[in-house]
Amino acid sequence: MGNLNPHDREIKTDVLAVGGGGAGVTAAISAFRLLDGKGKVTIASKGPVGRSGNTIIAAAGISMDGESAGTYGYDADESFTKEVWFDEIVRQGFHLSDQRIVERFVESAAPRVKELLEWGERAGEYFHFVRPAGFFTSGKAVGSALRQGLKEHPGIEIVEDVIITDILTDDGRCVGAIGIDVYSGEVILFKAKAVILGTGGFQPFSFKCTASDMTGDGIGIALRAGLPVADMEFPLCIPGVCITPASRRGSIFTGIYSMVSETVPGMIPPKTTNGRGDLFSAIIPKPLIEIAKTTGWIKLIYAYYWWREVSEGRGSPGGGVYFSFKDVNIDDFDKGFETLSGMLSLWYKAPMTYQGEDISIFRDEVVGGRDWEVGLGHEYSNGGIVVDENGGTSLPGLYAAGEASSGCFGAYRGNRALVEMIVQGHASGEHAAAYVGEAGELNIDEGQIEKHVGRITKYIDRKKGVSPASVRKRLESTADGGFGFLRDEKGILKAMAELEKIKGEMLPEMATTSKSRVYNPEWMEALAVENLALCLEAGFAAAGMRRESRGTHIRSDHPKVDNDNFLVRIFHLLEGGKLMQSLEKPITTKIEPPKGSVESVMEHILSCLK
Amino acid sequence: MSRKVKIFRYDNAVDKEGRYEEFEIDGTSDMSVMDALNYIYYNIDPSLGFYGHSRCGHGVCARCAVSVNGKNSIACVTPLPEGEEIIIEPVSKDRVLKDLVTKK
Repeated sequence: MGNLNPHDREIKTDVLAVGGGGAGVTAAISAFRLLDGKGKVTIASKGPVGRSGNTIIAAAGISMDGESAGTYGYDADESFTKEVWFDEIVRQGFHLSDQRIVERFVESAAPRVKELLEWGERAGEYFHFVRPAGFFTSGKAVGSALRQGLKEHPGIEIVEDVIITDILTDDGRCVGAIGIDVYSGEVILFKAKAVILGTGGFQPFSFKCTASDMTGDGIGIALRAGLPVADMEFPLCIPGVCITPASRRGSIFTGIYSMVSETVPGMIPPKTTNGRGDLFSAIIPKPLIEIAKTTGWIKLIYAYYWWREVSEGRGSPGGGVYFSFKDVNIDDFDKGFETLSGMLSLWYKAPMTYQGEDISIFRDEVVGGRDWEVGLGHEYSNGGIVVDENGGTSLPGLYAAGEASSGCFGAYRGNRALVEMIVQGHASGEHAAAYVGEAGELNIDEGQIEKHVGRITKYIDRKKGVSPASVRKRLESTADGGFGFLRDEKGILKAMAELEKIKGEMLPEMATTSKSRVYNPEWMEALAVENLALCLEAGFAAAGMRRESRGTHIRSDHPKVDNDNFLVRIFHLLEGGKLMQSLEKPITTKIEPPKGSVESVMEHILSCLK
Repeated sequence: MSRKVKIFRYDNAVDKEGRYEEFEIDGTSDMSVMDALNYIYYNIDPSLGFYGHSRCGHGVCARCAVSVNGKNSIACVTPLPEGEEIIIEPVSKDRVLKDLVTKK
């Protein structure tokens, strides 16, 4: 590129927020406000800010505690106190949460959600209040609210289409980051006193209902920088994601329909059946059906029973179950469908659409006598970077917020990720702003920059090799095989062996076909694949070590929840190029960890609600 | 079902000017233009350049816009058209950076 530096461009800032979704944007705004002109804030986002990532794919729900909602004038159920909410999150997390983080979550939710609502309203978006103290909206509306927040805080530097690949350290603190401009292929050196990773989670499976960005970038960055990540064995699924009609595969409309149709008058809910037509209303014990209908346990309960049918050979051809409308009155169904479409037009302007897709095809299927085939779509990863309640990591100047972090939701999330991202974004933004005031001048070692640039450009420099696209597919198939909803020793070991093969034979040989750095999708894929492979290695290792069932980690060979031996979080650290594990007791503040064991994950749910 | 798609290619490292390449894809009857491009990338030619590094997937960001049979369309929400001839080009050949990707 005609210069002597390993990088092509340089951006100097004080606080660098990485990520264009709720965590990154909230962090930037909160840092900017606290700095009040005495420092610079930059957002570096992989895609368009507020129009990319998982924030905008959310269904979406946000909540606060009932008492705060009441003081704000909503017709809230004030018995839903912060204490009740705290208790709910910790028990839903099977006691693996860092309770300091949960305390901060329930304390700070109300003002943060109120601010988001206000931005949203000023942007012309609609938020529908739902008791006890929540709001239903669209992810698109949340993205739009965040952009409104940015508009009201001019002065934050925004750099889009930049993939941050690594952070830089010096003298025991974070001093910046390296990134790639996706369009030009230029390598950018970011000099920053503080970096906040709001980069989202990791999605390793082939069946997707998420944005394309979920490649575990922040988690990879943290591991390579010598920081711990945890809870990597706990993925989260939305039950009811569309498998057929095939052109809508991955759409969450079917799941939304099934949930909403239970409560909206005039809508006809489907009956869920396995591949043989047996009703889940007869398979799932009645108390659990009730709990699923009225609490955040819904995803775990449905996933548990649906997956048992599939894994025992009673699933649908596509590996799922059916939402069946056999014997419904088609006119009634049609009227109810129109009602839903009308409601959706509050958020999606084009009629008969949901999240940009024409949904009339779903109606046509039912009218034509066909059921919807649906499955478990992986939507969120509980695992991520280890942080404290301020989003701080053990490296001064480095923070993580939102899905990229771990510790709030433990082994299962039955609560709001959209609240997690804005609470943690705000906390880390403010802490980063306070920190940069004290942080002295930066020193960046050229050798370190060269090392990172060499790591990321070798796929272009290498003349021939393995296509990163094919490696991605292999990783996905490995995850599908051994990291799915029901695990066992044999499947996990097989997946680990496959991953070792990919690590040994494919990763070191990845090369792009095109040698131009200009908009090179294979280059981006190679970087994503490195991060995903690290995330999977951690996930498999933890799934193998955790010889019990807890949350969304369910082992057919160890179905009990073992609170005597496994009430621990599994941490991962890269040491000398090897991923090492350690067991850490979750930090408790208000609820003591339980003892003994429970027969199954479902029994734990029943015991919580006795 | 099998569909034939003709795509504009340009890589500044090897091409002096643009050219067209034809691909045969196997897809569902109402796959989107984005589905077709993904099919080619993952199954036939991973050097294909098209917007994909940060997809909203729902017609919100409009970054994946391409020209389909002469009409500018948002790839992720536009169904692949019926018929024998499908030509996919960048929205502006003057501003093309790589294959179907144009300068921001």
